[in-house]
Amino acid sequence: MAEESPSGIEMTTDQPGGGVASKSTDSFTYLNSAAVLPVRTIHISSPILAAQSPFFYKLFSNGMKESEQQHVTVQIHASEEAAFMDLLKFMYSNTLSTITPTALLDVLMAADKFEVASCMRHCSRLLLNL
Amino acid sequence: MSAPKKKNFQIEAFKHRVVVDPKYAEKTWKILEHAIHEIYNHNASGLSFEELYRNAYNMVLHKFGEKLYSGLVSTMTAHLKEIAKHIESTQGGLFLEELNRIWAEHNKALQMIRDILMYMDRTFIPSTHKTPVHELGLNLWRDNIIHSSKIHKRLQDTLLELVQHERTGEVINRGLMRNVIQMLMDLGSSVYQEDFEKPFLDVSADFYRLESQQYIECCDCGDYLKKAEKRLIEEIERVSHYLDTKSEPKLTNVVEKEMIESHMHRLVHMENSGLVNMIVNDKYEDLGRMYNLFRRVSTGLALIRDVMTSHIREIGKQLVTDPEKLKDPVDFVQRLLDEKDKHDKIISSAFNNDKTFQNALNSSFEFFINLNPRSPEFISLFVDDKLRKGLKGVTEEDVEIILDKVMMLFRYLQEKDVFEKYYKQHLAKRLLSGKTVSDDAERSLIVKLKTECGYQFTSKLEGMFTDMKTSQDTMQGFHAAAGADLAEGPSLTVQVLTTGSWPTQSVNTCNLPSEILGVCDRFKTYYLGTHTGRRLSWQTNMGTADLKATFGKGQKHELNVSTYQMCILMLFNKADRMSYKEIEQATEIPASDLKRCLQSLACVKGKNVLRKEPMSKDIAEDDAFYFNDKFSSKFYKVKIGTVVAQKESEPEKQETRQRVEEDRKPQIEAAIVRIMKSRRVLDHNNIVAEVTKQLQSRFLPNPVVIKKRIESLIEREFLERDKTDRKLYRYLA
Repeated sequence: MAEESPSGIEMTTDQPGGGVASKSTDSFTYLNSAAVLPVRTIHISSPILAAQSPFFYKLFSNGMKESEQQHVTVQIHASEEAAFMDLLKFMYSNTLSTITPTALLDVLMAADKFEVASCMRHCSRLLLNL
Repeated sequence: MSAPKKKNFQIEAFKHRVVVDPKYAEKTWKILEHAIHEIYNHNASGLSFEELYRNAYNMVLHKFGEKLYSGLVSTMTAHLKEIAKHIESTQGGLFLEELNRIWAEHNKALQMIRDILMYMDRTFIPSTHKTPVHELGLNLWRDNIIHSSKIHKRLQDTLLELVQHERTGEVINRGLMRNVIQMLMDLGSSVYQEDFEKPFLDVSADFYRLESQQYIECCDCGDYLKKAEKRLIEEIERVSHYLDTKSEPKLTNVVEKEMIESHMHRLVHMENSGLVNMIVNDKYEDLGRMYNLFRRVSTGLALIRDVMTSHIREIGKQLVTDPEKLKDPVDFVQRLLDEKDKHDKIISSAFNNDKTFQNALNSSFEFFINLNPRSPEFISLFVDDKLRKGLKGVTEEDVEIILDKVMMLFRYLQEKDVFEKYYKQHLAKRLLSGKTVSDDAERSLIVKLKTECGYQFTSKLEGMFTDMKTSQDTMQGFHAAAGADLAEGPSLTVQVLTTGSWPTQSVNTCNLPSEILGVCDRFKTYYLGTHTGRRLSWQTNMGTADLKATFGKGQKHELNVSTYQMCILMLFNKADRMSYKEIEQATEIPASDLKRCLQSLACVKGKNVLRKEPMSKDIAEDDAFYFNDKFSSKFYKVKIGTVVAQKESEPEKQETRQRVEEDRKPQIEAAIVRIMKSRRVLDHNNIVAEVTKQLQSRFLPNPVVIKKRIESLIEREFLERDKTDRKLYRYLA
């Protein structure tokens, strides 16, 4: 697609041992060579993410830049945003609000990207039962 | 409603996944390649995991997985080649440390690389059947570092050299060693085995071959075993410290083979320190060590067992055939028991109570005890000695222990019926002379014999005890019936013995003195009055008597003598001098017994109530005897024993033997009939085998004797020969 408009989602996570996450950064600017990316800040528990997704587990622990950061930025494509939010909600609640096949497919894609096995199973089951 | 909806349902193409930039893949790969370099250069903390993961994810998603994977391989290979050069250039001692350090770094880097390529690892690699990232990293390490021509040999040599240093007593860095070995194991068991274990085992074998050769030349057996044990423990520790646990059996195998198996014959037979020496000197610790070491080798224990067996047989053979040692039967048996105790102790304390060793010991004893045909007699004599006097002041438990030991020897006997014969004789003497120390001990032994050989074996022995009891009752009845009439004259105690239960010899009744005859007749009348249909005959050769005698200066003594001796002494109430002939005529005691009695009355110092002319040791037909007026003794009671050889003399032995053979005949015949009754038809060899099997708990029948019994049975028409096959016998009902 012509208009590629990446969006940044900044997630302020409670890293274990990292103290309380700062809430002051309500808006954050992510600079991508030319364009200014929209940033969304979410406060979310890192252990919950790490427990369900090997990606997040490594993100918080494997010794690269993010392991030391209070605010971790995950850059996603704008088109992925809704699915990504659904995925995060699923990791907290184990339920999905979306039921349309297209949306489910998007969530499945997101779950696959971050290897959230429970969500992948959930989506596949819903899609098969359509 | 769902059906039409499904038709409308349309999946949109993944619009945003389409790549427009033709250089996209190249650009993205450059980012990742740069990251990999940074990771190797310890700059990982400056990299964004999220970004790298996203890029790798996108590459795979956009079908550039192949490019990503091949890029990874070439980048990593290039890095490892650099590293290999670095390691090759390290100087001597630091080589291993450097290798270990860089290995740790490589592992860490590999971990991170795998993390950022996680998506590829999960999706692209399984579907294209490529090697997963971690394994790929290890394989590349193996091929580029470990198998690099300049490192491969050096690594191997360094490791083997370190082990060699440690074996010669130096301290080495075990932690480093463990890490490097662990690396080889991580690279796959084949790498560990091919590149280290195999040459290691070869070197170890060489080392121990040389060392054991040196030890065996200069050490005695005990020292050698100590050294071997120490080495074995060291090697086992070595495995636990830094080798793969799977190497332990292989390594101990090498030590066992070189240090034990190749030298075990020499060790066992080593002069002045080998197995026999250890056994003789009760070196339990050395023996235990030998057992535990030799057990590791397949034929080790059999070797120890064989040497031990032949040693015991040799010793035992000397013990039972040395005429010097046969003089005292009690001592003879005691020596056997001591020998058994000694070896039992060795087996229990050094040989782990090994059943096969116990069996070997038992079979050795069985072998040599039966080498001497007099063993049954001697064992019975030993029991006799113990039950007569040996058990005084010994607790009941100890009595049981001694009896159990005797039973153990009894079990080794092949001719158990011979033992029975002697035992009966000895028991009879004990019972009749009232010499038994403990009735409980006697009965306990009978019970043991019964459990060992069955009811039949002991029924007659038990009959003897019953007779003794009945006799007591009979005597009470007799005294009650005769009452006051007996107050005067000698008192009489009679033991009524059932014929058959007792070992009665041919009866030679002597002439009893008239004083005794009266009371004897009274008893006879009483007994036959209460029991009809019985016959009583006096066994004057088995009785005893207490005589009150007054000597020259008026001193009184009570003389405890046998019935025969009593008859002789009573003669001197009427005469002071009697010739041998006169005594013989008056008493009619059989000549051999008479001579023995006179000898004990006249020739034993301190007990010579008779005087003999001429003074000499032996009794001659024309000797004369006087009442010894001057007899004196510090004891009031004087016990005059008969001079009886404790052991049987040669003719007696022959006689007993003959009686045993005679007793065996009906037993063999009974066995033959039993067998033939169930088999109806059987050939000669099988009969012999079966009979031997049936009777071996009592004795070992001679095949020739069996043949004679068969012939006798044919004569008496119990059996017949088959008309066509002369070797077959047929049972005739």
